[in-house]
Amino acid sequence: MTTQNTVHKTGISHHLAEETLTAYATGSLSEAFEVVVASHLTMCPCCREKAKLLDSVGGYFVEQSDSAIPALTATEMLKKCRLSDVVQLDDRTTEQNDQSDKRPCAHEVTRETALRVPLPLARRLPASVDNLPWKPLARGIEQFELGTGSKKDGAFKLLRIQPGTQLIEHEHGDHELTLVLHGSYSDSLGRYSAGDVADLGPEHSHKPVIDSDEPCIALIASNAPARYKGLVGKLIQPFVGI
Amino acid sequence: MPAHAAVIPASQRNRLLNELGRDELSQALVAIGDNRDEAAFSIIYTHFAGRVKSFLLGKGMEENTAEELMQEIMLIIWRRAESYDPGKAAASTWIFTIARNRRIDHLRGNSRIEVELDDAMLERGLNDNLVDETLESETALAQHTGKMYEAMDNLPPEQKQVMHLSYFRGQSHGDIAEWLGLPVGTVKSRIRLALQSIRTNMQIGDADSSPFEN
Ligand SMILES: [Zn+2]
Repeated sequence: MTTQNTVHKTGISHHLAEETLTAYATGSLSEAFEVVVASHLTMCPCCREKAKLLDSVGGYFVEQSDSAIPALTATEMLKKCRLSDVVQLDDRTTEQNDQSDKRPCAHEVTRETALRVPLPLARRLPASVDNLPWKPLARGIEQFELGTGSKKDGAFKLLRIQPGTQLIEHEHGDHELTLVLHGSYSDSLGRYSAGDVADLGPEHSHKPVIDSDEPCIALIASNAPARYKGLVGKLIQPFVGI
Repeated sequence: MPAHAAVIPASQRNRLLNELGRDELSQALVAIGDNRDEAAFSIIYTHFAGRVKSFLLGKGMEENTAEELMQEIMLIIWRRAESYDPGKAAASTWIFTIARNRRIDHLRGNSRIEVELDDAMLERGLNDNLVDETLESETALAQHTGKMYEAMDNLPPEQKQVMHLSYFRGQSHGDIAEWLGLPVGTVKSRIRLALQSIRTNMQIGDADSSPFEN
């Protein structure tokens, strides 16, 4: 994949695929995928530049589109606007993008400790990464569930994997994003360290190994569970998302 | 002047005209933000209301909901035009992002997740004056937008079609693949090629070439 080989000044060498950035720009991703994408974009000016360009491509298509017929004339719409200036309308419809609407961080500590994570993720955590109620999953692997935990919704979780742990070879569901936040892992596609994202489709099968002497913490979103090969794989298949 | 105009190729002339139109729309948004200029709002509404509604309908929303949501989007434009920065986004881009975000909010009941520019984790590019938030001046943006329009106009039809469907029709690459009777992989690779050719075309003629070329 072309997006995975370019080396940048940030040290990030594995990026989001163009089709994922496009799906983000068109508003076609689920919330879980948006969190992973926005977290990578925070850490990666290169993908941010592409995302910005893709927003302006949206502007181009709006500009080029055939116009549907609006029910109101400009004068009638203006009347509504003036009215809204007098009567404060329902906040939810008019102010949903304001900063005030963002979830507060439950833990100011996240902004200060060494194990910081980007705000799109930090806002969803009840504590800083070190203090999360991690749940053991398999030997050397702990998880913190961010989604519903239901198989049909796909995975949305943080994994903390101890050094030397080798995951069982597995294929992926339809689409899976893994963003490394701390530490690193390696597989046949290369080495992934902080800021790197593995943007994998169903064609990929891999066998990650944690290759440094600190735990690897990764954020994962997928829209279908990974399929593990072999009996042990089948046993842990419902749980592990990487 | 007429002699001069005659040597400007048609595509170039179109680009100049488009830039003028885009500039007027930007100025209209600024005027709404500065003093709730009603004539300026009429320009924006007349130009964008039908287009925004068309975007919502194309994405599968039924008529009444699309109309209602479009009016909300116009109201957001009226109330939030103060935050529009003509050096950061073309009017159509700014309005597209509002429409897209409002649609997401309507569909799932919470906001789209975005980068926060005051995030302590935000990694800024080093030597990247072509990159997003450092692209400050209106002239630079107008040039950038003009190049993007030209690159889009010149995209191979099969790539442009897939991009258009992504923005104005289906929810997933799978939907688009099904519509076109193509494998999903082909849809994905056309999107990849489209973005690459847009970026390549936009960088032609840049003396200080981007740090991002492959
Ligand atoms: Zn990137």
